Amino acid sequence: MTLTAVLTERTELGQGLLLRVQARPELLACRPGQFLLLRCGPDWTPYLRRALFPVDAGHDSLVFWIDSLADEGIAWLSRRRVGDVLDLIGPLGKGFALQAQQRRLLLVGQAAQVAPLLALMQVQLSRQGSVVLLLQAPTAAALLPPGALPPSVEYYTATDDGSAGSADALDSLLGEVTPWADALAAAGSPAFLRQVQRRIAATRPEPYRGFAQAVAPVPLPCGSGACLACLVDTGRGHHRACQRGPVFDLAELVL
Amino acid sequence: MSAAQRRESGAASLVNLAPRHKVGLTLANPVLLAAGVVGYGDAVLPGLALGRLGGFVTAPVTRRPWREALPQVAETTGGLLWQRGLWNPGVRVVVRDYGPLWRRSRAPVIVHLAGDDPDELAAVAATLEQTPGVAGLELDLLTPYQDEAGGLEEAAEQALAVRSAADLPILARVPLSTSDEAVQALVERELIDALVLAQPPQGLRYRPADGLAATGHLHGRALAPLLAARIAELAGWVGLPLVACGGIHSLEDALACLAVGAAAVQIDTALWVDPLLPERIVEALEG
Repeated sequence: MTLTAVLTERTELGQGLLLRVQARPELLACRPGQFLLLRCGPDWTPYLRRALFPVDAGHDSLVFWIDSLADEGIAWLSRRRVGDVLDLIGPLGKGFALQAQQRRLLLVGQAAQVAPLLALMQVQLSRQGSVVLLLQAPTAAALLPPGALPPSVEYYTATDDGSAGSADALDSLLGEVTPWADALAAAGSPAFLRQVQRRIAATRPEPYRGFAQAVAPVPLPCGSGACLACLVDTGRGHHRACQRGPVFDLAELVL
Repeated sequence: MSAAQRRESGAASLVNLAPRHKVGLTLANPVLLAAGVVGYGDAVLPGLALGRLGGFVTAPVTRRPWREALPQVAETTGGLLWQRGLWNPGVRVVVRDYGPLWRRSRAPVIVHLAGDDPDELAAVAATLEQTPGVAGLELDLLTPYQDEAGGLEEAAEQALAVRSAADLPILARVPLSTSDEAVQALVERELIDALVLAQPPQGLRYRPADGLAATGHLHGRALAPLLAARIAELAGWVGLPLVACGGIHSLEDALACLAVGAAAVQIDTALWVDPLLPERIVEALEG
């Protein structure tokens, strides 16, 4: 169902924007890792809806952090003003699944794809679990400002230009923190997720199926499973990320 | 009859896309979904009421599994390029997995046959004829600029193979560039029941910034006037129901095609952006 939501708050955060929208209960049911599809205006340009992952959900609102203005659709969203009405579909797909006994959550992501991890972070904190966030970005400016995170979250960064942690820092941090965690969630490019896979395999002697989940790094153009542009190779066939995912067990992703 | 009564009976909107066929292909209304935009009927965005529509055309089905290049979508100005290929698990698995859904479908299901080989097409058609819920078949005949004699013979062989293998109405989807002579030749052979205009044209998008090119079938609103113009040209003399497919992104686009002679319209990728569009068209037609 297409549902309208009203933009109620628009705040700069880092080099991105934090947007809060007042939404109907159907949209508020969006779980971490699930997504909504946003129509970017009535003029068919940009043509396709854009997948949005909320970073948080309140009792009557959703929060988005958009930081990639390279995309025409997200740039359109960034130009909306308080009071503007958004056209959304969702929630779509299947999100993260955390078991009650998983108390120590390691989040590993690239800044441009961090939104679903932040939503999961909120859930884990709400049930008094522990969270460590490792975030990688091209530069310090692209990172989430530390002040935006709850104080209880341990936050480590790595940047390609070394301005906030060296490029190699992520790998060594992963090696250090992975043994502590009893659950891991990741989001990033295929190369990034391959790096995470390798590090987990090297750190944990036992098979890690069930330990790590990841948002498949594929486009989600139609959201229904029709276009097949989101096919994900799991080694046991291809699956549509918008139906069976976009969250998969990291161990089964062939990247 | 009042508008409410018409809505109740659907009488004002009934369409038979295969009047020459002994069973026919009667739709409750002239609004269809184009091949593949809801997969096999399993890929439906929330809010889309398939049962309210005249029917839907499935994604392509081949005799054997077809899994070559991974499908891709590339956005263009006001549209997109969809490089879907024929990706499908083969007719046996398609029927096993989606046959139950088709059997339950309130909207007629038209299965899109794919492939060039007449024997393969016949084998798929024969299987589908035995599948409850399949109301008709759609297949692509001819390719752009291939309507010379050789191409026509090939198309006729394909249509004949399907016609011989299955007693189901056949919708032939042809390129927009198909000449009047080629259309007439196809119609005269009496191998098809309706003509779908048109196969989406092939497009290419090049990005100078990174030198990347994307190709695929072009879908977008700019196609609607081209489509309406060709429907208008053919409507007077073809003698078969014409189905407008491509570029329809609004009620006005649909009404234009119907006004110039289309018996029905197929909504394609506009559905992914505006999933309520088909139902809005149905409601407008029902008054």
